[in-house]
Order: sequence, then structure tokens, then C-alpha cells
Amino acid sequence: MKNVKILFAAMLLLVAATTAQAQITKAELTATGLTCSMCSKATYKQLVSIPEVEKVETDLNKTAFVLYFKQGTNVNVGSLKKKVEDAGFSVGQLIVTMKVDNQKAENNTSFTQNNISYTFMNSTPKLLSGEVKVKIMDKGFVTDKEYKQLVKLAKQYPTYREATANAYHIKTL
Amino acid sequence: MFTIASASAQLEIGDTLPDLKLKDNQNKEVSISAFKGKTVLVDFWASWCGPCRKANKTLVPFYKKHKSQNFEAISISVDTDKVKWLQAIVKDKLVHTQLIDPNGFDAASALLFGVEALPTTYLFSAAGKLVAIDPTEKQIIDQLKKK
Repeated sequence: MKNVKILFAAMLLLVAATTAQAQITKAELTATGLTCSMCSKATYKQLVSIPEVEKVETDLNKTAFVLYFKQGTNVNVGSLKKKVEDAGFSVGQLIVTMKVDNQKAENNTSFTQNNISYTFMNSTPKLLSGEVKVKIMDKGFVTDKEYKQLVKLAKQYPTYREATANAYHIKTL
Repeated sequence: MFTIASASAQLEIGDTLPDLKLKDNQNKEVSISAFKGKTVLVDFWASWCGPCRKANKTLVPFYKKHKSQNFEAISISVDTDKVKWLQAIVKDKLVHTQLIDPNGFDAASALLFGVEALPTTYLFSAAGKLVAIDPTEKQIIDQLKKK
């Protein structure tokens, strides 16, 4: 297992068709540390092996992998994280862009897209519409240091500790 | 272009400088085997590769100092974005041979050489034989002294 620390900043574009079927089309994977994770063929191969991934590009300015997803695939951020971990590194940050329709961002309220529920936390209350950027706050999607801070808020957010593959906590950006 | 014998094709010490044709930064086709007779350093890189850009900083003065010693450096970029490649050449003030195989790690030339990480450099003798992978400056200088 490589000891490479990776910041995972993903832009997940949830394209709502008329059926409100959410779809992730793109993710940005940011690497930090002394090594250039993007410069390793092994890491690249692992990312392109993700079935939902259509192509992987790189961006020096953001030191990021940019993942483009195939049309019509449903990407669960949890399985994306697992693939990243299988590659021997960890997610430091995951930011998703999702399309929502008049969604109230209110802490401790949830909405469901593609059978996955998203609960707001640490968010400024507002009405969200169109493409919005949110950060996944659950364990494994933030740095260990950040998680230690967030878990202290468990009283305020009763569902936070119960991390499952179909329920995530998000913060509006 | 060329065909690859097997998916695991990769160059080993003693192998011959491949007969590889790629477009340069003037959009001219260049055959790298045409450089046989010179000591050749083939450098695989990409504009988005931080360590490659850092290595360019030392390659530029090294090339200027040694090009008169029958030495040529050939950088092969695997950038998929040609604009970013050309911008990087200008920014890094690269004056040696610049070729592009715009397909990332799946680039045919990268597969042929067996590139597993960027940057990777390959040093060929004037006889066109691979003498070192990722040589140090001293190894290149020693090779240039050989007749």
C-alpha cells in the first residue's frame, strides 16, 4: 500500500433529465504531497479502470485528475472512494456539483437523488436551484484531522456518525 | 507510425533506438532514428507533470552546454492538449527537439518504451543502443566522452 496522501476534489455533475435522474459526469481528483500521483501510470490505470469513467485528464494548475463519466451511468461517490482507496491512496476532499430543483438547504434536512440521501450540515440556509457545488462531509471524504473536528458536531447532526453507502452529509459551498 | 509487438513491450538496455516518427512543435514529422550517430536522450514528459517541468529547468542549460558534443535531447510529450504543450515549451524555453504523442500513458511511444511514470528518460549511445534509463547528468557526460 503506497503511503500517498491525496486530496480528492471531485466535481460531480448530476444531470437531471426530465425524469430527475441524477448523473455524475465529471470529477476532479487533486493530489498533494511530495510525489506527483498524476505522473504514475499505475494510478492512472486504476482510475481509468473505474467502469463509470470515460476518460481521465490531468491539470497541472490544480494538480488534479479530471474524471469524465460515461453518459447514463450512476456514480455513487462511495464506490468512487473505494476505487481510489483500492489504488492505494485516500480521499482528502470531494466536492460535487449536483443539479437540484428548488431545494431548501437547511441543516439536518435531507433530499434524495438516485436512491441516495444527502443531508445538509454546516450549511448556510438558502434555496438551491440549478447546479450547486457541495462538499461531502462524511468520514473518508475529508481529511482525518477534519473528521475529528466534524465528529464533535455529532450531537448537532444525529445522523452524522451513521455513515452508510446510501446516505451522505453535504455542506453547501 | 509503428506497431507494437506486445502489450508489455518495453525497451531494455542494449535495445536499438526505435524507428519512431512523431510530429514536432513545427508540425513536421520527425523520425527519432534519424538521430543515430549522436548520443541521444529521449525524455518522456507532459506539461501537467510537475517533476517534468522541474527537470526541464536543468535540462535546458545541460543541453546548451553539451549539444556541441554530438548530443541531442528529444522530448516526447504525452500531453493530450497540444496548446498546453506548446505553451510549456515556450514557458520552459525548450530549444531541443520537441515531439508529441498526444495520448497520455496510452501513447504508443510510451507503451513502446515502457514508460511507467513521468518523467522517464532513456539514454542512447551514438551507435543507437540504449545504455541507461533515467541517467544522471554524470552518466550522460561520461557517455558523451566515449567515442
